[in-house]
Amino acid sequence: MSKIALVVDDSTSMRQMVSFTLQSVGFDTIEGANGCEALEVAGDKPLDLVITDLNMPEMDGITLIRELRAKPTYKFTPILLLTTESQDTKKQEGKAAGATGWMVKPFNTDQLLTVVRKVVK
Amino acid sequence: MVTNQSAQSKNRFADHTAVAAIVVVLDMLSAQLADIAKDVETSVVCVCTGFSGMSQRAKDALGTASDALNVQSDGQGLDSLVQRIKISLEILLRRIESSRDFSAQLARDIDEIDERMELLLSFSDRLSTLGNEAKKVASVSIENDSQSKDEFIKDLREQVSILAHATTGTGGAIRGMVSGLKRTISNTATRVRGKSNEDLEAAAHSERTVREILDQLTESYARMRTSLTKAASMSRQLNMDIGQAVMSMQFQDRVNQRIEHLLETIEELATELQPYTAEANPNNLKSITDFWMQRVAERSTMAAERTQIQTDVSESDDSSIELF
Repeated sequence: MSKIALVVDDSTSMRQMVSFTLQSVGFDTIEGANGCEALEVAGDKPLDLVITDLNMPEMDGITLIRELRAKPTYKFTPILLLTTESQDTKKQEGKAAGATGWMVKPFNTDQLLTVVRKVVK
Repeated sequence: MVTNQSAQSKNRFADHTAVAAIVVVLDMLSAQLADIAKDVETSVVCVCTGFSGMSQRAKDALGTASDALNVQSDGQGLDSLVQRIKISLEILLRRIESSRDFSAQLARDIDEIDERMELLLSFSDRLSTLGNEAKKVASVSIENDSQSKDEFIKDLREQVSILAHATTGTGGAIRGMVSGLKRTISNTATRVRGKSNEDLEAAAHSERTVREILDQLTESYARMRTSLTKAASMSRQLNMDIGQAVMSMQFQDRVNQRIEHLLETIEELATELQPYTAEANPNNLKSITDFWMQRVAERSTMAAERTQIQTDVSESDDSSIELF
């Protein structure tokens, strides 16, 4: 059975690129354009991975992580922040919210997959 | 002094009107930038969708080729089939060889029977010889008998004569029968040997043919496997290339974010300038705004830009193709 990843980004093209990369290694992907959409799409479905942008309209990545971590289903789900943001304070904020890792855009396919393999069991 | 104040007031109104016009132009520029960002994203999404489709089709094509060759995940397929055909052929050849050996043994057995028939013939010849010798004895006795006139001797002569004739007849009959049997057996042996040799030749020919076909099949299959392996490698390379191309499209995300940041700043500037527009002279505002719009329009070449500027555009942009 394929692993499922939730890809969250307000940029359609970025969602597409991340999904394309994950699908190339066998993931099934579901997508959300912001935190609210992501929560709605996820529902309570078991997820093997979440990759989210930081700055998004309606609900940002940090809030999304907090919301997901509050649900028992996603307590231990690997969540990666993929963002153009490089401020250390934001990074610390992400870590405190429960992010598993932080990657700066633009991402490299191999780097992303290496990180994914590390965090997804 | 009054004149100075009037001039200052006039300049202030003029400045405010210019600012108000600039605010209008800034709004238009913001709309242009937002439109550019949207255009770029739409195009990049189209390109990425196309790339994803290409990648998927490359994978599908490879999958179809693999299915056609019936290549299993463990690498077994036609290889296994060829191997099974070879084993079956070996079994068949062993059976034909066994039949040939059996035929050869049968021919040897027939030869032995033939030799024994020769013995039977010699026995029948001896029987004929004995009959002839008995006839001679009987003849001699008859001559003696005609001289002695003894009845007993006469009967004995007759009996010996009858026995001699019977022996000669039986010997001849046996010889005839054995000769016939010998011919039949000899013919059978010849036919068995001939058939055995024919079968062996046909089997050897069939074996060569089947082996050649199997070799060709194996070679073709190996070539197909090699081609498939190459195609798989090319497909992987294509996927990597596509992946890299897709990843390079991330420039759009960065560009859009930078545009967004610029837009935010422009909007902030417009908001900052907004209070100054209240004192703008409405009579001059349109002409100054039009002046700026015209300047932007002069730099514009595309319908999308002109739509944002909303100046009086004389040429038609309804169609991207026009024949004269």
